[in-house]
Amino acid sequence: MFDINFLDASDSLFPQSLKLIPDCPQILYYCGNLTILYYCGNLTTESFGKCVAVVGTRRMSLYGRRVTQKIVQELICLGVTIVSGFMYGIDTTAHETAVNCGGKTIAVLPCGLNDSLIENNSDLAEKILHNGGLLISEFEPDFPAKIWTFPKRNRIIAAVGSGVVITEATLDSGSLITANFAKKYNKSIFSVPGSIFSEYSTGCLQLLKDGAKAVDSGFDICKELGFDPVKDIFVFKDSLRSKTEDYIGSKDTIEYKIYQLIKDSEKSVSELSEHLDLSVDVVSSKVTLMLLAGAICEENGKFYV
Amino acid sequence: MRGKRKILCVSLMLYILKSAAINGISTINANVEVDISERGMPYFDIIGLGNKSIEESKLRVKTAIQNSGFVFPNKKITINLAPADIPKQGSFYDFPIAMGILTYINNLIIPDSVYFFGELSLNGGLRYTKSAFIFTLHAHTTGITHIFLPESCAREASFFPGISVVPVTNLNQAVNYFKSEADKNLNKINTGKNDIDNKITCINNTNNNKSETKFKFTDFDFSDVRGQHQAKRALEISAAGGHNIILLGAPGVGKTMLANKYKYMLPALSKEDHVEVLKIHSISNIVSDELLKYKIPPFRSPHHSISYVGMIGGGVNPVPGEISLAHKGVLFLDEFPEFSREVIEMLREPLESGYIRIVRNRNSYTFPAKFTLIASCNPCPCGFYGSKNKKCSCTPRQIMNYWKKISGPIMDRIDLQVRMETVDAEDMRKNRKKSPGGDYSASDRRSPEIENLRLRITNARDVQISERGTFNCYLNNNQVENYCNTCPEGERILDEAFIKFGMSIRSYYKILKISRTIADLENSGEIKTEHILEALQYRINA
Repeated sequence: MFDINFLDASDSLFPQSLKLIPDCPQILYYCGNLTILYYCGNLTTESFGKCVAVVGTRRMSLYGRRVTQKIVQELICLGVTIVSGFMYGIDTTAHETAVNCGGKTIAVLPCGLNDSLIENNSDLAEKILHNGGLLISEFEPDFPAKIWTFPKRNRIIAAVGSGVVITEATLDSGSLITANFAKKYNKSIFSVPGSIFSEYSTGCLQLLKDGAKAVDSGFDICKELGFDPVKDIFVFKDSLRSKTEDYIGSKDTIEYKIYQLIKDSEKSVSELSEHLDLSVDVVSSKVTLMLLAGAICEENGKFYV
Repeated sequence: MRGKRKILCVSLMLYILKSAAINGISTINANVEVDISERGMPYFDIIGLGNKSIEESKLRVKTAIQNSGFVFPNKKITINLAPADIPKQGSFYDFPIAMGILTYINNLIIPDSVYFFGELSLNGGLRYTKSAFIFTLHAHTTGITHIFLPESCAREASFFPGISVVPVTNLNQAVNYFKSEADKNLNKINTGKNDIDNKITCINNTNNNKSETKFKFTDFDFSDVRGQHQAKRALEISAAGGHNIILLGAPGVGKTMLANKYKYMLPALSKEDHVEVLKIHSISNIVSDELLKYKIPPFRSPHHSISYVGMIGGGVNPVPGEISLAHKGVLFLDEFPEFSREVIEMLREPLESGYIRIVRNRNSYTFPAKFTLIASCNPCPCGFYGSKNKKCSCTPRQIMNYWKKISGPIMDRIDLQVRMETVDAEDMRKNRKKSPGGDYSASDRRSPEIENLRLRITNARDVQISERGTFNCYLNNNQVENYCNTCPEGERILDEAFIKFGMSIRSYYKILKISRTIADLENSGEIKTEHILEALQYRINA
């Protein structure tokens, strides 16, 4: 499907970050822009040095999705390359958001680059490559994904990124394996707190207890990892925020009331009309306008900021 | 001398009664010919391509006649159901066959303009028999004046002016009606006829009275479903434009409850539609009062274990399936992806064309099937994907496979999609407090009163028929271009949404059609921006 090349561990282009780990893969198959991988972790160069892994559960909640979108967006704005595992759930969201923001992303696959796993999600793979991203795997092109290949690939994810962010994970999630590798390789581990009552966030909570750093934005991560003196942080923050707040305008509008309602927790049209005491047709058209303007987002019929 | 007697015999002992045969959902003239011959060994047989129930009719007829106090003739009796090359089914030939034999026994005089219809019980009584309506309809078109049928069928049959429906409880009553005056005086049983005459007037009276008892639609409004305002609104739009709709939501959010109320939002059936629907229903089962008296469109909700024959119709002598029973009404498929793939795919053509043609070796049958599809399904196999309170236990692959069962071509034919959420306990409580006698004004807009709703929907439908000749859901792309004229701002928004939401051309047209219906609901000639904005909330993005 794609042009697949490979690298020997002895090759001069073989990424430094991978060479440092004990069980470094002997051959790396890749497809796309290899440069971004080569410079990973090398903060002295101007570009591509900043690289963070964003991983999490396959079965995510809307919260997990929002967290991932937010953090990846911020990281991309700060010029960070996103590494993730190309599976459903958080991984896909991370890649998708990165691509949609025009950023670069590296997908580390648990199977050969010709496997059906990629075909199932070929749109995403194409988008990643189109945006100057990269697909890599240590398995030969036709190798199918097996249960044991997933943890194996996790060590590469951990090795490539300067740090690992776990945005949402249960206790049995594979992303905890990634976190474990990161600990072994002396990388920073970041975990996003969720509700202590949420079944989805148990893994993240455990990581926090074990000493992972709690983060709520991409800026925190960059600061922690010592990426660029984040000079433009407020500009970036503004550029992310302003869209919504510009749009909403004065306090009397329905838009403002909607914004207030969905700021904390996502809501559906029915709920909004209940809370605002307005008819569905009015709420629907307002919400569509806000959606089109990019002021709010929608997932499964629910709206959030 | 011998020759003359023979002729006399033949002319006296052959009785021909008029009847009808049901073929698909149409009827043809048929005769029940009863020949009683002195010659040959006594026997009793029925010919004319009858099915098993007609074959068994022999025993019912014989026993019923004997149990009614008559002596069954010990002769050679041949019954022919003409025309002989058309297969016949149904137990309603019992009555005409019995009357033919009773004519011989009692020397009755039966006029040519009379139909008999009904199944016999062994005690000589008449039981409820299906297809009374279509039978009477046939009688009506062939100039029959009287139709004798079981009392329990009279409700369905007394529909057409100019044809007297005579409800009969047993064979004796019918015999008495046709006994010559001389015989009656002889036997002093005159009461039978008076009875029947009384009953005729009785039935006619109830017919005249039917406009007085109004159907209480208020018993079926939306108030007992809490929240779900968006779903209610979407159902209103669906009802107004005939759009097919899919409801998504976790178990217990009220999908089935809402769908069950759908038929009460629809305007009453027009006269022609009513007759067409009754025809189909009378063949299959007992016709409900709601349909017969109040003209409420049919609502069918088959279980997902249904076979494809049950869904589209069929069998050796094809009978209409669920889609035809839902004609001019609603087909509600609960747990849509649980239906077998075969059954779901069968819906493709009828959804497009509004009829189904079934070809079997003898003949081909066309059944009408113009219905609105309401599909409901869970967001995933366990039902809790995207739910606030419960964790979904499905793998992404399972969810993908679940959705794969509904193929693209079927989704293409569904215009509206609504996600339904579990209502918060708090919201529910608030709602409950509000409803009894409290401030209705605000909640009324969200859960509109059924009478207002019906009025709006009826008006919107009338506009569509008078302006476009068809419901909005049946508009083709050219008609959409012609009729769905949008304001420039709306056009711009639609283009923007087209890119932003990654819509296909088909969904572009769907949005226009739905906007048209929303505009019709507000009696607006032009599609305004807010109509398009609202329509975009119901787009399908599975």
